[in-house]
Amino acid sequence: MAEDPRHAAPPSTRRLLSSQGFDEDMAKEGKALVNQFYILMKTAQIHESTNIALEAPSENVLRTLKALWQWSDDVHLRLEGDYLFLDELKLRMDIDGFISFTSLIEVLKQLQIGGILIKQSTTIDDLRRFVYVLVQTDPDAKEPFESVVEQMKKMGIAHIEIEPFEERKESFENILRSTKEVAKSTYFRTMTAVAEVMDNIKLGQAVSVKRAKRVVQTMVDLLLQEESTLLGLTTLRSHDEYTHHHSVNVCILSLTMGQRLGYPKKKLTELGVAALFHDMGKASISPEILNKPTDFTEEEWQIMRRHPILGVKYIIKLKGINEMTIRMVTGVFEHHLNYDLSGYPKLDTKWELSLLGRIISIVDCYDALTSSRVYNRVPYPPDKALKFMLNKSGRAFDPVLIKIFINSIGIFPIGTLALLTTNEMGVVVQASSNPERMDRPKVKIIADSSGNEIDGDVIDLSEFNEKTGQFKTGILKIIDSTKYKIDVSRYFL
Amino acid sequence: MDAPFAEPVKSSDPDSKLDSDVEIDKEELRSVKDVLLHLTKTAKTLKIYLPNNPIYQKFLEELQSRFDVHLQEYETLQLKIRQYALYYKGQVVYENTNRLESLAFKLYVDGVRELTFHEGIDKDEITSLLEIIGSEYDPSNPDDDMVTLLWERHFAHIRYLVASDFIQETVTSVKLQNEVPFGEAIQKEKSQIKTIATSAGSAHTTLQEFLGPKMAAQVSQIFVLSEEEVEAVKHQMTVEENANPISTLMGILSAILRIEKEDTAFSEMVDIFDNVLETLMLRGDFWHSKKILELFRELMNPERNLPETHRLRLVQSIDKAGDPQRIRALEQVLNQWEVREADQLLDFWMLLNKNALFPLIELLGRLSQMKMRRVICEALVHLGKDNIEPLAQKLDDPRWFVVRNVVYVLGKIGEEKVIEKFRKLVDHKEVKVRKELIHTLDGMKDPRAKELLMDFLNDPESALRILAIRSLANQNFHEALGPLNEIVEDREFITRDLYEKKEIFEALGRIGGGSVVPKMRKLLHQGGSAWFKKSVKEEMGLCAVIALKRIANEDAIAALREGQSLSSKIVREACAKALNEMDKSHG
Repeated sequence: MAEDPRHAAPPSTRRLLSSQGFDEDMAKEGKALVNQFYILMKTAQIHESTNIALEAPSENVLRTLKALWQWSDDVHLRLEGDYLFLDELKLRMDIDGFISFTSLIEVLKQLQIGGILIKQSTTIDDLRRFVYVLVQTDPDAKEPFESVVEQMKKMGIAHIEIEPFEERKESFENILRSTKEVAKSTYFRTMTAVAEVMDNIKLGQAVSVKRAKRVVQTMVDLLLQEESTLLGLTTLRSHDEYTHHHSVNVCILSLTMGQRLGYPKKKLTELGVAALFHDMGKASISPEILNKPTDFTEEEWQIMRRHPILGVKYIIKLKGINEMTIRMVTGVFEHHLNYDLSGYPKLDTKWELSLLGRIISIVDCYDALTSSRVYNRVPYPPDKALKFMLNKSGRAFDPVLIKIFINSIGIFPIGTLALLTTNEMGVVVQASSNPERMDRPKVKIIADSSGNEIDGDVIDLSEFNEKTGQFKTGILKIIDSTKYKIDVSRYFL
Repeated sequence: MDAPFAEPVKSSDPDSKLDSDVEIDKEELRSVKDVLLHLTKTAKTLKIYLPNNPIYQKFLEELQSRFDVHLQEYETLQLKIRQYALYYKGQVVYENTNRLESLAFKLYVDGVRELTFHEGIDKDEITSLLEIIGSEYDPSNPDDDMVTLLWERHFAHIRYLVASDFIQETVTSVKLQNEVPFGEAIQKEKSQIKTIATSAGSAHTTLQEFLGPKMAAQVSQIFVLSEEEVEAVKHQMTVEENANPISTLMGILSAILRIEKEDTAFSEMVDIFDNVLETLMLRGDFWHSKKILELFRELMNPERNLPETHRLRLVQSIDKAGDPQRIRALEQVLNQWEVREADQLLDFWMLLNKNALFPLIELLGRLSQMKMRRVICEALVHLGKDNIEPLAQKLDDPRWFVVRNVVYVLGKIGEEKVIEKFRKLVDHKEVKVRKELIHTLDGMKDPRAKELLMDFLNDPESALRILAIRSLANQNFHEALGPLNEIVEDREFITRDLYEKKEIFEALGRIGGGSVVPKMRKLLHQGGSAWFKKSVKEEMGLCAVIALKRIANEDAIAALREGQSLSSKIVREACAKALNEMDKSHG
């Protein structure tokens, strides 16, 4: 029997991610399974096991299982860290399935269940009884997992098996390590692709975004596997190549949002390419203006405000019309319009912003605020930038998308430097997936309590100390890295 | 294990990683070659037949079966790709140095270095792969290649490795020279905290700092999406999914054009519209093409006070849309176009400037669909109103259908001076042209049109003569009376169809009225010339009844009453019937 091609080995450091690390059809069924299982659990919390109300949700779960059994004899739903996996396939948590995913993860964690194996022989009765065991087991019991196992035996559930939850601390770090080289390579290849297109524009030559599309596809694969690796690279800044770094960062951040919205892979690629070239219109603006260290004059502002229109003109002139072009044009045109159209260009007609434009507008602003674009301008620390943007929610930015953005990157985004309650210093490496624990990301310790620089562990600030009833560690204060000239990007390279 | 990860391959070392030392039995090699042979054959078949063609389907099934046989026995089929050859376990299993045909070259040139098929591959996957392999370079879509297309398909049982564009040197970041020691930074930060919290629980203060105490208490409401919010975003996604991308583009370009004030910027934008319009026209997207012209016309509306330079630029652009080259390029598009969307096309033509007249007339002769030509005719009626000369010149066109369409257009324009130009068409060799001309003349009020119609009374085609007769009768054209009488009196008259004879007598009745009653009475009684046979005489009598019935004055009624006592039973009965019907219609 052939090995399942979806069971992809982790990439070696010299390998570049290319095709599908993600089986979209299987992932779709996996997402459906989680959603339907959640509905079944909710129904089981309200009704008796014999109630007719359970019929439809049980049948829905079974139907989805049947679809999944086509791929494999057993359906193996696993919890690893804060993510659900179907076998080795990571399931995407987008806004549509957010509540069901977080609720199921919460239940599994409380009952200390790390995996559910559903065999092909499972019947609808097995499913019902199993769900009843889950909803009726007391999560505060001494050994909830054992309780569930015992109840399952009593109820004669033979075709479903469960396995205990194991906190695998290294797994996240392993993924980061294993994908780091691919991410770095992709990041810099993307910068090259941007530079190439910008040069072509300056020369008035025809533009192809084939190379860019290929690297964006790789980015999509990486993000679906683990978004923290690429997000970490958005901390890379360079005064000299601001526009290129900024373009790549906006691309990565947009893809993160698109993923959260549940965009399919092809749409994600379109979004990524559009985001990558959102500042195309700046190609003809002189570096003296772009990198001007002091405030712009009115005349310079006028030139700067022209870049969305110039961008549209370049794209149409140099690329012609196709679907990708139109996505690019949309991003270029809308990214400074603002949610209430108070931005630029000033329009004299009604306008409805696209999601794509609204997404790029948010991430563009965030990356610009957190970048040291000009010598004299001090960049905002990530949390301050978000606070600034949150204050403009509903006016400059779509309030729902701002929420989704903050949900994607956390209120202390990747790269945030923090003084911890242990007096250690750490840098945020992964946002919390739970919106109610936004302030509790995963942090890599970079200095011990005496201030010595160390290559510390990654700790999860949402870990709870059962004995004290408090979180083990917290953030005491956010540190502005630029104040101390600390370049956090080195922790992501 | 095969993984979806690309591995850079050194092109200078083509034999690297070819597994040439792996042992392979002959049967296995034969099986791989067999699969590849069928793969290339089926790919070729797809170029000839449509995917639903039974021949292609048969090839596809055969290919699927070859894959199944091989994969059931050997589990995977992994091909290493080199410039012109495919290798399986170090052995060449396919080779073709023709760059246009070589499967290996196609894959290689786009960077694919390994292709692996796994057990379970289905028909859809094979079809998708064949489509990708068969996709020719499309200049309108330079943003895709084999790799981007492979990526976009959901292959569960096909994996591939891609050579990276280049290998990036390892990038590392170093400490900034002026970085403050961490210990110092920690101390400084700590000193700024008034009350140093000792427990992790106080971390809530950071959230308060971020959101403020009030909002921090409502963190779940601030960051957790409500069901309504999720629904709203999903709805928006669906709307955008279904939106027409060209409409999106048009919206953006129009918004920019409306706000461009400077001459150069405005002109640049119009240039872009010129190109977009050309592309849309060539794609047969006349709905969006029309939208562009509508926008231009709206901006040119005097109420908008558009600067004269801008207005002229727009006029120029509309002229360009109707220039000969642009219109001529539409021949192929329109010959394949869906006629049911003709309204859009007509709306578009109507918005062109007068300069489109001649190119459209030229186009008329190149279109194969009659309905499509009709659409152009309608547009020509509009565009040719004040300029019939270019149209009139086409009356000499050797293509009869062009002449017929031009006649129609000129007739619709209704310009009187064209009547003289029509004269030469009375003897046109094509019946359809003459027929169109009769219809056209019928619709014209000018007496010269009727005079010309009389020329058709002797047309070789009976149907056309009838049309002309009817038209003259309907319009009560007295000048036709003489010629019609001459026809009746002609010796050849008896050879005409009965139907035509009836039309002639109907016409005589309508046009001649009371003046022809004596003649009809005479025919009723004598049946015409003495040398007529009885049957012919009776036929003439019947025709006279028709005319008398149409005249229906006292004299005519009297003649019919007399006719009731004639010796011919047929004529008697016809007179009685006519009188009866006249009674009924009067009373």
